[in-house]
Amino acid sequence: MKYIDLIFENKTIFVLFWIILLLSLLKPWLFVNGILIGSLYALGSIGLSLIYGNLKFANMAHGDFMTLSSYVALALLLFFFPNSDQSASVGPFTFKYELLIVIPFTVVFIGFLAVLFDKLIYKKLRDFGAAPAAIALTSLGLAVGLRGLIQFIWGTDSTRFPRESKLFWDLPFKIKIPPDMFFCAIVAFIIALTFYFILFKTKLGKAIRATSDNPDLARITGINTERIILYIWFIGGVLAATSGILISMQQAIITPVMGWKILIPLFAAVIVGGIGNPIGALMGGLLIGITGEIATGWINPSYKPAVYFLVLLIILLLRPNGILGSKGRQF
Amino acid sequence: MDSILYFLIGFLIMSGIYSVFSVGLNIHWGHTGLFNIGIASFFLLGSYTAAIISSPSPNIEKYEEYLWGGNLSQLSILGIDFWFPLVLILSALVCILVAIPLALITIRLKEDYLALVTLGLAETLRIIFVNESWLANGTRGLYSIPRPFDLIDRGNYDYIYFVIVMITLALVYIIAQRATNSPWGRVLRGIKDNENTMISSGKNVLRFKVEAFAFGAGIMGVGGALFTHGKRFIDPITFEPMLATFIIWSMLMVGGSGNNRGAVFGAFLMWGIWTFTQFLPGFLSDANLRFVFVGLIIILFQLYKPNGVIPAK
Amino acid sequence: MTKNITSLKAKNISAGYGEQIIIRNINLDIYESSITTIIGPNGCGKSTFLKSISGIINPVEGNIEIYGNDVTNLSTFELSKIGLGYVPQSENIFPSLSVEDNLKMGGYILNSIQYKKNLDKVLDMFPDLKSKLQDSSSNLSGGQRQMLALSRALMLDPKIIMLDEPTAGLSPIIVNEVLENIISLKNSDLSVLLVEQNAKKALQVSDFGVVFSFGKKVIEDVADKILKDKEISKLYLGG
Repeated sequence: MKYIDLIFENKTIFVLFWIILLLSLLKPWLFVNGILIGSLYALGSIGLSLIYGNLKFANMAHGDFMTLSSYVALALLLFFFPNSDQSASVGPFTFKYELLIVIPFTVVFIGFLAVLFDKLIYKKLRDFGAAPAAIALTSLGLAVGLRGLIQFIWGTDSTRFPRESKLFWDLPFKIKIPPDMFFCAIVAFIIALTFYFILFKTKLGKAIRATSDNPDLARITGINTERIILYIWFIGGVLAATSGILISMQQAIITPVMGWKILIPLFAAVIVGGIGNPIGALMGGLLIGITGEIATGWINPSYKPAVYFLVLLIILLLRPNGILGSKGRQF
Repeated sequence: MDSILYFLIGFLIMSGIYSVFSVGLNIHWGHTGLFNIGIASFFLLGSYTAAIISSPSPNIEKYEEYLWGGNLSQLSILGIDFWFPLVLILSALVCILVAIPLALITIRLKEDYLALVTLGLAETLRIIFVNESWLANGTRGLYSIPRPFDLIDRGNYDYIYFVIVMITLALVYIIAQRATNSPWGRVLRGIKDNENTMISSGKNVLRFKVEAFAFGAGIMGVGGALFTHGKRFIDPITFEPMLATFIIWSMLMVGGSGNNRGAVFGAFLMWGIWTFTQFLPGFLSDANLRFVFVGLIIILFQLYKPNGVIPAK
Repeated sequence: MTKNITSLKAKNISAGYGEQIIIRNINLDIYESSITTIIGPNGCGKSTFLKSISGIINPVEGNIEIYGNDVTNLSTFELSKIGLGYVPQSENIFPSLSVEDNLKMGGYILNSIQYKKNLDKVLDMFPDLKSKLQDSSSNLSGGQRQMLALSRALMLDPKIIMLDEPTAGLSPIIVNEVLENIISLKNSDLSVLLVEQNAKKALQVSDFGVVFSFGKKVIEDVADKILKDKEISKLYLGG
């Protein structure tokens, strides 16, 4: 309820909120699409928000981690199950059982890769007290390098993600749901809630929040903050990988730039929800997804990224600490 | 022999153009600490402004939907191509006008918000120019962009353009050098080193930062205009972030941020590596490996030599 | 006053931030079941000294021993495991966690049985916190905040506890309350190292007093003597 109050507190936000709601009543199928796509953005932005909130820098490589995980999942699938094209797909969905087997391995691999990059790169920057922008710049270097590597190995063109075509579910009000998207949305919600539980109800989660509040004090209380940071990277990597793979399942096509292109909606979602707040990131992701889809009802769909950019600008103008955050200047 | 020389001139032209961007980025990052990862925005704005205002009005045969064409290239005074400096100035002005509101929105907030906004702007502008073909002929791009000081035969024109680029670079360099050595520039460095001291000494930090952002963006606009008249063809793909943003960052990292000389040196060095690695044998010439290299350069210099090869004094 | 076993021994410590050295060549011993108070003007390096002992900043030279073991190179979280407690001056609680979670973080390295035991012990000492366990710690009053910070540090059963201005910004009644708590710590065999602006009051409850000035230790004596010394009173105790 507290969140709802906050939304109504600010008049401009209030007006925008009603505009979106009104428009979504006019074309409810777009609203539903927005929720489904938004849930994928949410998953990506929760990981991004975790790193932004706790390690205090904008991780420009988050998107490329997502891209990399899609390619790694595909490569594992083709390597271990070269005949998966012939096997049956899962229930009403387009993907095969084999993909579900490959996903956990990929996700854990990307998690450890994030940890490795911390040891190789970010640990050093922390040790000499680099400014947030300098760390973000280094992550930009990592993003460029990763993308180059992906293109070197798998080529610059788009790659098909193996699938079987399936019928959409037809619902009233012209609402059509691809079953895959429904699956992805459900998984996204489950993971978001699990992560919320970890962060707020477990000892590790509390230690993560304590480290984020005040790393020096956390060390004084006996918390090995360097290890906590590795957990943060691992979880961040896992969330990035999961969202990357879910998005590729849903899009059926992967490209080396997909992760880079998604950075703006993800960051917009993170800032809308308040940096470091996983529930905020979930709501931010949904809001961004819904706004983007509803906009396509009236304007050229290829302008979707521009809509995300506009949302980001409006948020920075009106409530730079996010809709759920406190008013005024941050830091 | 001639073809090698011509190739070298082409290389030097591009290095010079990139040097302009690198000097502009140095105003942002090296002198003020502003994190701009949407250099492509100003690259694109400068380039399209120059192309649109200098090209002749479109005819139906050449362009289907494109409407504009300032045809400024007809303007010459006493037989001198007076239009070209005007194009450079106007391109810079457009970038400045876009940079100021952007900076006003974000600079009062966290320092990396500027990065997100510039990143978003670059993508948004690119999409606009892809979709609105009346604006600049969409994905088919603008071509046959006029040559300034078109005095000798077309085959040897690059020699003239080389001189133009070098003169422009020298002017940009001198202006940047003057600005950064002035009291204004000292305030910027003060902001970069310790913003709170500057605030407590009564400086309007926000204003200085906005001015620095606009100044750097203007220089990038000049770079964009130079690029347009050098390549004489631009389309939205030209402004993909790799060659319009990332490589410029690697140039500044190598050369030394905070130091205009280093910025120019880094541009020549990195463009040299970028250009000449394509002659390597086998897979080593793969363009994607150059991506990896650019990324590594940024990371390694941040880790081991954050002040670059030629650090600021 | 008898001197007990030396619990913490700082030998020739110099430390600072980056290039800037703030404290130079400080030698200081503190003893079991005693309170040692460091006083001195603002910026004389009192807090820096505590930070360099706790490993928040690394001393550029010198050695630190705890019960005879060299701990100079241990990191902060390892020091807290071997019994060094530290309550910094400000930002000494986790504002986004509840009171109970703050204490849980205090006992982060304990198993659940030990944690329960220590929690009960700490809550006996600070019964005010008992009713506030579920509250957000950012809503606590200044005094309650100090108590939470102190109890958080006590969760690990430290042998040595360093307190950086625990009475700063508190009302006189609460100051006395906090000082009483500190005396009770001493009575349970802890070594207390106190840094205080409230110099007179702090010295009254202390066994030993140390005066820092410009990053150097200038006087070290029994607390009573420092209190009575006119010269020191004039210079450091405000008359």
